[in-house]
Amino acid sequence: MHKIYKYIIIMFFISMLVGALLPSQYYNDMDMLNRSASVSVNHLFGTDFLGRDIFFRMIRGSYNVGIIGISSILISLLIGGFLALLMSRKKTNWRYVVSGGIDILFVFPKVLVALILVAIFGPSIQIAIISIGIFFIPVFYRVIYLSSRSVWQSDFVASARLSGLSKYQIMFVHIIPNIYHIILAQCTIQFAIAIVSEAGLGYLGLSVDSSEPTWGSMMLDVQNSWFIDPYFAIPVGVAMVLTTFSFIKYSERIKNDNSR
Amino acid sequence: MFIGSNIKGLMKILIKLLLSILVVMLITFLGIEQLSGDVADIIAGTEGDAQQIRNQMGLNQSVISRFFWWVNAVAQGNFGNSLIFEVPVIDIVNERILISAPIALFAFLISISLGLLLGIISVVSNNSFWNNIIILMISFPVVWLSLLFIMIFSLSLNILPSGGIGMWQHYLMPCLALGISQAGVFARYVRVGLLEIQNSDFIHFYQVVGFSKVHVLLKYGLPAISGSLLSIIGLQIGFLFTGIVVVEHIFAMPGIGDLLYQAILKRDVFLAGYIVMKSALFIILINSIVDFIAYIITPSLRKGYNA
Repeated sequence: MHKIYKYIIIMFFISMLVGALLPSQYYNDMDMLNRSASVSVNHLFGTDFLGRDIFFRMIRGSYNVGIIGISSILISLLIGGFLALLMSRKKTNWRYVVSGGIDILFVFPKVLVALILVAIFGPSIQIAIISIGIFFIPVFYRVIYLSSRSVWQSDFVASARLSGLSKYQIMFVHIIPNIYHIILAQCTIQFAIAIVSEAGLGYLGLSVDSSEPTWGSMMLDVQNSWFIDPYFAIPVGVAMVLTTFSFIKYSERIKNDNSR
Repeated sequence: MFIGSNIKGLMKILIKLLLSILVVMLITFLGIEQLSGDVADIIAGTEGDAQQIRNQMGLNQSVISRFFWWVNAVAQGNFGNSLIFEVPVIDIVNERILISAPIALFAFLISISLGLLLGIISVVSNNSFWNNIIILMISFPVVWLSLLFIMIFSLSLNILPSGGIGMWQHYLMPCLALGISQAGVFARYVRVGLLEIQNSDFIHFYQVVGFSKVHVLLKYGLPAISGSLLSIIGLQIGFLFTGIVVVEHIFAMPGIGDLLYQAILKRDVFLAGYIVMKSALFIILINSIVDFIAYIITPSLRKGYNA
């Protein structure tokens, strides 16, 4: 049973790759004669209210969603993870400053960040990455802080310190390999949450400009064609739920495999 | 009493609250500054003297002194007029909050009760089915769940209105959609907390004495994790705000989230600034109160075991 999740995740990454290489006429050209068409040979999942092919928009959307997810995770992992590794080493007063700042970040709703940034710079894919990434920093900080604290106390770290390794060397040689599976499991689950968050931001028109589709902005297109064919949101919605579900299940598997 | 001996922990919560308020004020102020551009040029037009207006309005002073001037004005309850509606922003916001408050309240109640129920059931039944249900609830974004509800209940069955306000039927779908998607997240925290604690010694001990597992988990397990669950509830308020903006947009309800969205799209800086500040302050205040309660009811936090 668990293999299905793996295949769905692999399919998502394949469709991301295809989406990256897809020429824009496939997903942006309007077939005016076949607007809001249903499933057919020419249009696998039908067309939307402007006659654009839903299947290709979904593939291109998976590329954009994937980029948003991966970049926001990378940014927050670098910032939050580095701070957490530094702060978990010793009990210093800096810890209060950093964790206090991190708490403030966590409380601030991401839609407020996104709205403020969009108001100033206009919608773009970077805005979505930043507002989701800011929201992820506290998550990675807490998870890595809690898991690396005990590793810093262990005997092999003490012996490494005695043999003359600097704290950064210890970090890369001893700490990170020991908490690697925890970080990987958290990244997997954050990717799922990034997809869900992007759906909200994309629906409000805050994630990409209008030339590119994402799964969230395709939901917005449904609203525009409400009384013509509301059911064309179903392929996107099903893809979104399946992908998110698989990523969360997979992260649970990583956790279970390593805790045994 | 504990307050006397634990001033340090309470001071930490208070300092965090004050710093958060300062950060929110700063962000709001800088946002308004950035968006409004040079007002003096607009007021002066082609004939007026922009420099003189800048002197009059104090715009040639430094950013820091203007920030404190603005804080002073805000503290006196002067938030300026809305550019779209041309009335004081406080009046509009107070009016719109009455629409959002029921959605937030009922969605919050649904999410907490459903999340608690599902979390407990999934641990007690020891069955992956309930865990899958929880994950499925997390996987459904609010947007997609709302659209699905509209497709089923409004377009196919035609029993509920797809948008608007007025009757109680209008609130049914938004509250359910928001509540269910939040409940998944909360249920997961309940589940993880209970799973962690069910292997600890005191739970085993009560089971050995002869209490049933359900009884032990409910009576001794839940209080033990209530501190961490409370801080999750505080965070849920923040997530709820994000959800409300989306839900009000989908169901065409003119509440506070929709107002904020419109204000930012139409560059109504004073209105947007006021809503951003008010909602952020509200969320921060709730979080501080929740932290405070968690601090009182959790002995380990008070004694400083939790570093």
